[in-house]
Amino acid sequence: MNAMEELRAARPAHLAGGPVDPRTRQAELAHAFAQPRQVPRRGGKPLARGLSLGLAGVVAAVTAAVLVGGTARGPAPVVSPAASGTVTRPAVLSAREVLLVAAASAERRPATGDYWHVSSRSRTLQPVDEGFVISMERESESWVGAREQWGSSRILAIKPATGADRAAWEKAGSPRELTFAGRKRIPIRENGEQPHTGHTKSEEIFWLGRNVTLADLRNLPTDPRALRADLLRFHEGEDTEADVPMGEDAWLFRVAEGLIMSMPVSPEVRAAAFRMLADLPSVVSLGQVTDAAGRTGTAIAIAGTSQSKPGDTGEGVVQVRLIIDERSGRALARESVVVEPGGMQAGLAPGTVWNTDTVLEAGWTDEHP
Amino acid sequence: MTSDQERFTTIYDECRQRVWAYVVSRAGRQVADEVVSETFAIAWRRFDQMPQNALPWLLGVARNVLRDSIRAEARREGIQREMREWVTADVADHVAERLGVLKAMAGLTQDEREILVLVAWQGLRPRDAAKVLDCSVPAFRVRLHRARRRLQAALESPGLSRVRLVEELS
Repeated sequence: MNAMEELRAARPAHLAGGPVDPRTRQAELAHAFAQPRQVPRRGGKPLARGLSLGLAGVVAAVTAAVLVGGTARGPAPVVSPAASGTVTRPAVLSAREVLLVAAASAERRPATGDYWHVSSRSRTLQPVDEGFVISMERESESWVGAREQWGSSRILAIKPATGADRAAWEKAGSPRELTFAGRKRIPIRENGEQPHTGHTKSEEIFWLGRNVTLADLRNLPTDPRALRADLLRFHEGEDTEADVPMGEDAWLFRVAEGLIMSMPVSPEVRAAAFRMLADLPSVVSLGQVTDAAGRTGTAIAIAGTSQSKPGDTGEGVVQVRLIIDERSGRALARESVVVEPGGMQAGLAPGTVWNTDTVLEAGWTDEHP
Repeated sequence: MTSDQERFTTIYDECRQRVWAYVVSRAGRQVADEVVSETFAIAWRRFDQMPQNALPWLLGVARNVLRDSIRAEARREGIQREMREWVTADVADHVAERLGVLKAMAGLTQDEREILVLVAWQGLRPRDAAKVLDCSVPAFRVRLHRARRRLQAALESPGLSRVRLVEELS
């Protein structure tokens, strides 16, 4: 044997490979995906993609159903610009750690009462064809019983998002109605409207990739893997609302965020949902942020594509964040941040929190309106 | 996961342990996970620049991370501790030849060891190993030739390498 062959044969066993420890793998991939991607620039240094350019006004608030789409296409730059507030310190815990702490806290919450009561606020920023951005703010409240439900929803304001947007609106003659995507008309509402209230008698009330009843929610598995399998039965490789491809991770994140934020599941199921998210490699932690209601929590995030604009094939990249208070085991808010402007978010600067959905209260009560 | 993330994960699964082994053979286990984690973080940031043949490129990134983030002294201490384990762990195997060659490795310089590790343990072709070291292929061949000769010499005069080993490990 020559020296090189001898050396080859003498390689210490632990340097010969073998599988990576799953926890290490999880942590390292999450750490990597938390990095902003660099875009090569012709003849120059690479430019970090989608860096925070600040918010288009923290002022306003919301309406908006959830508009964010899938993640199957496009790059996945996961940046961490300020959420609706500011990042107060860098990520210390991994997404996995945050979610596991939240899971343990969720298990300790009591769950009794006849009606599940949720009170929330939302804000959406919408670029309009007139050349500026408006913010739409809404508050809603619901009481859900097994066979009867009550709801109330109120527009708080629809108005130019920032001072600059207001100036642009006034320059355009302060139109009372605005258009976007060439057709939809949006009325300006400087002051809040009267609430719209509703009373329904329905059984399939919640949405988990399919319509489900309160009883269905009670029967969800409390084991994270079983929960994942149960939820994935209704995953057909597409986004939940639009015909765009959507991978498993993104789809599970989408379904689980609703479950965690605003559904009356048992503490064990909520804990299982946190644990299930903890096992998704494309979920990253962004550290502490402040939500639109001024509360501090830890953001976990996943990349997604922006909702496409009618008649426009261009699409953008957004980052969907779930802000968690891991000590109480609750999700405080869901936010979507523009990473690469496009689709419905074309015209918004990267870093803009274009949609927030903030849960002010969620819990059981014995009363209804 | 996006398709880029999926591709990256595949590359991670293929290369992670080899990058780790390279870092261990340069600076020991203590710092290896940290360096590997940073290496893949940089790799994702620069994913657009990653060549088809990712391993040499990743090893090159790891090499820079080691150089930039771990003090030379810590690297030296780390590798000495590591090599001490190589020889003590392998004593149990009672494979004298193995022990001899590992001791001979310990008697070489850091640069010589690195070249031999890339070729013998990482199995890189000179073309790829040259990429890791950021040098030309002819220059790499010259250095490999020299390192190989030094290893051979150390094997043939174990006394000498043992002296170096004692110096280096003490």
